[in-house]
Amino acid sequence: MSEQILVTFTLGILITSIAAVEIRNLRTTSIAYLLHSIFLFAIITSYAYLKENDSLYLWAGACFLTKVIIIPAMLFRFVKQVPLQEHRPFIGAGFSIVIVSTLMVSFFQVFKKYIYLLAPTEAAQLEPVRSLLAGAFTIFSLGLWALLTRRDALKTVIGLALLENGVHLVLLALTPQLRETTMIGILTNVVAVVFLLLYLSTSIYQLFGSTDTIKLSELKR
Amino acid sequence: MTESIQSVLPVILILLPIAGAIFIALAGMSKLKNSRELLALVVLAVELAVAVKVGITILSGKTLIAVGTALFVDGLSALMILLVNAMVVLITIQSIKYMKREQERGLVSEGRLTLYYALILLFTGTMNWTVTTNHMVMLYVAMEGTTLATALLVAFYRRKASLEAGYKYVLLVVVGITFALFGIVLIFAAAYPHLKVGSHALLLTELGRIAKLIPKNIALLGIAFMTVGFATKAGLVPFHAWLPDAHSEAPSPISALLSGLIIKIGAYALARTVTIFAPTYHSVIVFIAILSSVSMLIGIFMALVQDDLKRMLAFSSVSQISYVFEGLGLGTYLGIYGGLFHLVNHTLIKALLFMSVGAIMYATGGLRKISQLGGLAKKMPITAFCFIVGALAIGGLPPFNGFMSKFTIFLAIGEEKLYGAMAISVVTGVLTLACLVWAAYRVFWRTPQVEVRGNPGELKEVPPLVYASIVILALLCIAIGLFPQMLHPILDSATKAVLAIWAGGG
Repeated sequence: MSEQILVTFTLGILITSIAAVEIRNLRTTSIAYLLHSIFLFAIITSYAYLKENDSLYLWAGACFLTKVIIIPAMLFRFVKQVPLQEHRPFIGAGFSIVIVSTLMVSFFQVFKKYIYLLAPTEAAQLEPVRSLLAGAFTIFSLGLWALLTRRDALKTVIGLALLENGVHLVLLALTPQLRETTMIGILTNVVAVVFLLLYLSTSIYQLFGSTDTIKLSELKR
Repeated sequence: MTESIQSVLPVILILLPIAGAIFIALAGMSKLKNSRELLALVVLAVELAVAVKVGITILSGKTLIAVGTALFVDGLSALMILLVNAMVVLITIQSIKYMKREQERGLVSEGRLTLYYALILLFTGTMNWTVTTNHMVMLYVAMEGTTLATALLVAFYRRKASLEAGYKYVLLVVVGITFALFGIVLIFAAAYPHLKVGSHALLLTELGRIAKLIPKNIALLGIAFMTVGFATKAGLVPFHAWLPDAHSEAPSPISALLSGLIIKIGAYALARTVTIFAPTYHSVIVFIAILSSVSMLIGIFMALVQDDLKRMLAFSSVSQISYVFEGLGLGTYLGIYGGLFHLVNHTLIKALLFMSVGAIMYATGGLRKISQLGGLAKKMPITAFCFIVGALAIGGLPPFNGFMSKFTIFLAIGEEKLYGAMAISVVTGVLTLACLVWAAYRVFWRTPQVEVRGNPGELKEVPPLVYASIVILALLCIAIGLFPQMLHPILDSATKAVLAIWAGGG
């Protein structure tokens, strides 16, 4: 397996991330997120193979269980209970796709070019870690973008999941020597966070009749 | 170098309440459910006894380690352990009657009451884990654990407003803490070449040695991310959006827990990480001083315009936790000492004030708007006395405990010649005093408002089990104000622990 595959997977995860944020139909969005998670799993597995680091396979397994199975299952379950169409975000569909794609491609290039400012070691500045790190920073930024511009509860949760996955990739690129127990701790937290947010969103939907986070204005003073 | 001894006590502090939480949750389905309050109190009393034992050991000049070096207790951890476990006992004591009344009012079901005590125990376990973990990444995991354990407590009433508050709380705090994780990973990765061969974790106790070795750009980026994360957990402006909602919508004893303990986690994490870098990078001191100054001023201005007592106290917490950050951010002995002193005092005072509001709500059937209250002092003299003690203490009036810690922070800021920050701190102190005393006057001594006048027969002082905790806290505020030296050994030990890590001694 060449390092090129890892770079390809990185591009794959970027495209599916953008799709998860931009697609308006919530079921398709959840499918895009599932694909994103599969790419994440593929990246960890191929990285484990490339670096001949067996402990990373356990990471990959834990990632598969939590991010490919549990979290998408929770998303699909939530989507069944709420209207399928996303609440209109702050920025219109066409315009948002152009902005987000341009931003992400430029972010990826900028992060890759100036990685020495962000990569703490010289080894981290070499391929394929360089592309992986640039991808991780880009996904983190995309998660932040989703959190800031989306109103729908599901999109907010996906934004948060992207933010976490970005950091997850940074962990993989920079600290693959981290103990498996630590990684399992992090992944358990992520699952619990998504569960809690979706549980609260469902309860809010039952009371407010909406998954629009902007309508959560009871407490605004 | 202090002597480190292997001990099982830190493990007990973490696992016993978690086991208790599971037991109570399971017992909720059996006949044992009527004993859940007693069970919770017994577990927490044992925890407090263990915490005292840990404190005594640490004060004798030793540090504790457990599970290899994964758990570590030094002066700072011991201070936090004592504070956490003592406060949780007091909060649980008030909860017993308070939550029973909420159940009688039809606001809480039997099953949810069981969940309430299970979650308090779960929180205690995760909180003890947070303040004893020695792994930097695990600090993130444990911190997030405290958020998750308290999320359902914030949304406990399952009303529109409380669900909204719970949603905002989880979302915003988790986003903030994810930033902190990003910062932690950057620091860890930069530190890795300098760690022992085969190391799987960056230990907090090694951070002092590492701080001077890693590249400046990465260190500053990591610090910025960590500060954002910890400031979100602590509720500093502009990361505070979750705090007033969560504090005001949670049951009052939980508001005391949030303001007294949850937001302190951000300060603790700051002391463990960012403070260690402060002496190496002066810009960190200035950054935190600016952040804290803005936060304390905006926080108190927001508090001044609130009509809801709990929201007013919540905004006051935004302001007061900024004092703690300011002190800790200085990285000097006096700054850290003052920051930790105020951390302890604010915990006592704010828990006192929130639980006093709980007593008011208990007596008035849930009223908490200042405009609806008035003249309560005659009917509730004990609550009135405790509230005014809290108001004067948080306002920094001598001889109360708040004065002692704030004055220490003023001196520490002056020592660093940050006169602008000092002026803002003093002005905020005066505004805080005005805000809280004005509120106390309107609630307790002004002519009673229609809502209170409506049920004069029913209005009376709360039962002893509701006021016991606030009386203890009020007496502590006075005692620490009069005899501040009684906290000196543990504060000195905590401050020296931070400085020892900075010096690379761990």
